[in-house]
Parts: sequence; structure tokens; C-alpha cells
Amino acid sequence: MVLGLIIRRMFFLIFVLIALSAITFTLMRLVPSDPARNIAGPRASPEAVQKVREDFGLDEPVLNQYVNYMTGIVKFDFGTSLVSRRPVSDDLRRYLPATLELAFLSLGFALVFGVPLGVLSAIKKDSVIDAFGRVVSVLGLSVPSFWLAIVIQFIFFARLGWFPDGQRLPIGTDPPRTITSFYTIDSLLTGNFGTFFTTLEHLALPVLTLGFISLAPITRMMRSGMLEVMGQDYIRTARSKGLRQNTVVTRHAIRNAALPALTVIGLQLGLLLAGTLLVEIIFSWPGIGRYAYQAIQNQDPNSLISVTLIIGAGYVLVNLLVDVSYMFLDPRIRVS
Amino acid sequence: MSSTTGSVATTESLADAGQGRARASRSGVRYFFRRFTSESPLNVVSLVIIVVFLILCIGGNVLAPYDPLQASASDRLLAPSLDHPFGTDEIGRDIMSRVMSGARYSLGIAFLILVIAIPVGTLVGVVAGYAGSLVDELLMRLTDIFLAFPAIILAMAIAAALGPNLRNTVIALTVVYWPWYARLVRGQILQIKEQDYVEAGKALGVTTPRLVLRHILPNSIAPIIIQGTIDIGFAVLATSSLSFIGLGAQPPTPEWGTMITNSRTYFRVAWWYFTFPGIALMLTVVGFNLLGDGLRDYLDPRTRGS
Repeated sequence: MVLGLIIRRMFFLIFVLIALSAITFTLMRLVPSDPARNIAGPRASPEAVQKVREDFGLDEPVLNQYVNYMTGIVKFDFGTSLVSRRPVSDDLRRYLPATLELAFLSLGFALVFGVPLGVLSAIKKDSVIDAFGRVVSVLGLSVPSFWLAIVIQFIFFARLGWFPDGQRLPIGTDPPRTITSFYTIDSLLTGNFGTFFTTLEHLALPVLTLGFISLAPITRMMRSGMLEVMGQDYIRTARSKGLRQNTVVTRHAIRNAALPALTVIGLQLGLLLAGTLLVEIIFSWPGIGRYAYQAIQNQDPNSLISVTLIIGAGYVLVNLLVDVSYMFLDPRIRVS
Repeated sequence: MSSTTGSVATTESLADAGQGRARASRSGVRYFFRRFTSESPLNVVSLVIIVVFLILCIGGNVLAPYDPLQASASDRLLAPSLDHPFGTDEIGRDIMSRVMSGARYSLGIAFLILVIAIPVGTLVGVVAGYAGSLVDELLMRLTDIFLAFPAIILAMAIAAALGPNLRNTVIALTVVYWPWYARLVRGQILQIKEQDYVEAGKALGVTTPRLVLRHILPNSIAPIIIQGTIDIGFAVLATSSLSFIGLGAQPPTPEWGTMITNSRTYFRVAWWYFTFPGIALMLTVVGFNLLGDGLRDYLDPRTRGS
């Protein structure tokens, strides 16, 4: 039954990706501008443009173009980037780890601070901590990520000078030998502690920005989950057995409140993949977000659509994982 | 929710005297404001914020002390002062005037997006919920596609394909917002369809369009209003995000996101340049978020306090 769900969701994933690629492909071809002209450049001769058109298969019927495009995607061939002149798949392999490292650490930050804040807000309802938690969650929901990034960069880089303004490592520093492509893990594995700390310094500001934004929904969900659980009969039973408050909260309440929060956490990881986009621009972070931004600036549809597809696929995949882990964590769902 | 809006349907047949109804709704509005504002101080805060920005949205360019587009070579990057409370930008334009005039773009566009997306989504939701079976299945799978992606990424791809201007921002964001309402309304319709008063209406021979328009929709309006209020804030955020990456408003338009983009070059020397448009943006979103939360508590007492 778990397997059945996974298979069904995998089909949905494929279906959604086909649909999205169809939408974006149609949009691309609806645009009045000539893609061949874009590739060849504004000063190219008509013959050169014609050659590009033939080379890239742009003279074929639109449906054939779409089929070609889709067959390419299945083989992880996303076409050539106009900016880097490399295959888009190479670029993605190069930039995706930077985005993932940033997203994972930001989610970690949000969990480390958001879960306790939500729990404390609930068990000390209407206290100072609760008010603080509420302010943090309203601000986190409302602040534009790109603006928060600039403010944080201004304070901690321009004014205080505590952290660097961007990039994964200072210019001229060699990245650690590639094992996982996550600089933090690679530098530790290769025993390069200097690089490890430099990497952390560079991660600090973007992680603070994105972590703060994901903190809000996690705090909110944890708080309302805890409030609901704390009113249940089994909590009263646990109390009347004479268990201490700490035991009731940690052993009985949090475990049950964490389940609904899990959905939100999964959703946040998916949203972080998209959220890094704006923040990467500010911190010159060499991830797929900045890559997409450059693609927009240079009207490079192949790269942009590939990033859209990758983020979309990641989002659907994370949600699938959340649903599956739900079943392992909550036996009630497994049985029904 | 059911107690306040339920009366719409049940007294409807009695209240055909149009005047009486108009008077009732006027005192209803006053009653709403009195109760809503007394319920939580945050509701008052949200209303004040929203009224201020609505005034700016309508008359910001008239109220602004300077012309938002007027450059002045001698006033470049001036820090906040009495003459220029928010300072000036790199070509000497008054930032306060630009922030005030900018409300029209950010907020106006967010309204426009929802004014299109909500009716479209509602129509699809009503059709899917009421027709059921195959139609429902097809329409819901269609919304699944849109909801499977982070809205901003899809909007970005659409806006990039269509070309960078505000009209295309509206198109892109409308395309990503309507499915949420289709989902919401469908769920409501499915619930309300089974209610006794709908069955009674059917038995009395009320036509389907009338049944939907006069009995079912008015009873499903509360969640739409709540969602719509919160979404105005998020649409403001999304519009400015698209503008920030160069896909929405173009310079010299005094749009908040565009202003923040331009401020980046000078962020080390002119903190006021990025600060004020950002605060305006954040306050707007806070206002609509708080109002949405307040309305949820007000219209649906079951969630109160959670």
C-alpha cells in the first residue's frame, strides 16, 4: 500500500513535469521574438540566423520541436545555455549543490530555532515568549526575502564587517576537493578546517536570511499543533498519572504535534529551493537561483526552463517524501 | 461563519423589499466594524495600515510632496532631512514621494490580479463542485498541475517568456493564483451541496444557476474573503519580487521592488534608499496578513484563540 502510493505519486510527478514543460514550451514559442535571432546575436547575417535555425531544429514544426525537446530532457539533455555556451545540464550539476547546501542549512536553522519557539509559545501561551513568537512569525511571513537580504548584508557586512558579503569562498581560494560538492562536508572530509570555517562565514548571512523566513511557518505550525495536542484527553491522563510537565511535553505532546508540522517542513524545503533565487542574487551565491536570474537577464530560455523544471521536480519529490515518511511515523495512516 | 452568512440564504425570500435590505446591510457594516475592532487591538492596527495604503494607492501621487520622477542633480543621495524625510536617490528624486506614489503600482496590481483570479477560480470551483464526476476530475487535475509548483517560480517562467512589463506580471500572477480559489470554492460547494436548505431549494424547483448564485455561493463566501485578503499581501510581495528581478515594472516607475533593485548599487552609502521602500512593502503585507487572520477569527469562531 505504501508502494502503491509511491508509484501513484511518481506517475503524478511525471505527469506534472510533462504538463509544466508543455506550458513553458508553448509560452516560449508564443513570444514574437525569433529564438534563432537571439542565439545568433543582433548583428548576425540572415544566413547565419538561418544556419542557427537549422542547427537547433527551429525550422521544424512546433510539435516536432516539442518532441525533440522532451526526448532531450529524458536523457538529461536540456540544450545549450546561451550565456555559458555549455550544456545546461553541466551548468545545473555545477550550480545545484550550492543551492542545496544553502537550502538545507537554512532549513536546519529554521528547525533549531522554530520548533522550540513554537513549543514554548504554546506551553506558555500569552506570555512574553508567545508574543515574541507571534511577532517573529508575522514578520517572517511578511518581509520580502530580497529586502531582508540587503538589510542583513548592510548591517553585518557593510557596517559591522563581521561576515563577507557573498560568494561561497573568497575569490582566489580553492574549493575543497569535490566529494559531495557541499563545501562544508567536503572541507571536513578532506580535513581542511580553515576552508571549513571560511565556508561557514560565507554561509552565515544567506542562511540567516532564508532561515528567518522559513522560521515563521514552522513556529506557527508547531505552536498551533502543540495547543491542540495539549488539550487532548491523553495529556490529561499523563498529567493525572503524576508525570512532570517536562515529561508530558517532550514524551507525549511534541511527538504528536510534530506530525502536522512535518508537512510544513517539507513544504518549506520545497519553497526554499525557490526562495534561494532572490537571496542568491543579493549574496552573489553561485547557485541555480542566480543562474536563473542571469538567464532572465540574457533571455536564455533553455536555462530558465531547466531551472524551473528542476525546482518543480524537487518540490514534488519533497512532498512525496513527506507523505511517505508520514506513513512510517503515524501507524494510523498505514493501517487505514 | 454559518451563523453570520447563513441568514443571507434563509431570510432572502422574505427580504425582497430592496430598501429594507440596504438599510440592514448598512447597519450590518457598522456592526461589523464595532465588533471587529473591539475583538483585538491587532484588528485596529491592520485596518489603519490598510486604510493608509489605500489612500496612497488612490491619491499617493497627489499627496506626495515632490514629483516622483523629477530628478535634481544637486540633490543626489541626500540623507533623510526635514526637506526629504526619506532622503533622495542617485539622481536626486525624493524617495518619500516615490514610496507614496509606488503604492499605486504595488497595491493596485495586487488588487487587479485578485479581481481576475478570484472570479475565474470561483467559476471553475463551482463548475467542478457542482457538476462532479468527469468534469470535476479534469478540472481538479488541471489545478493540481499549477499547485504542484512554488507559485513564484511558475510566475517567473511565465513572465520571462512573455516579456518584462507590468501587464505580463498581472498575467503571470493571475495564472498562478486562480487554482487556489478553484480548490477552495470546490471544497465549499461539495460541503454546502449536501445541506438541507439546498435540498429544499431543489425540491421547490429552484433553477440550478439561481440555486448556486443565491444560495450556495453566499454561504461559501467567508473563506474566499479570508483567503483573498491574505493573498493581496502575498500578491504585493510577488509583484515586487518579479520587479526586483527585472520582470515587472521598469525604471523609472516608482514601484517598490524596482526601487530596491536600483538601491543595491548604493547600499553601502545610502541606507535610506533601500530601507523605506522595503518598510512600505513589509507594512502592506503585515496589514493584509493581520486583517486576514482577524477576519478568520471573526467569521469562524471555532478557530478563535488557536
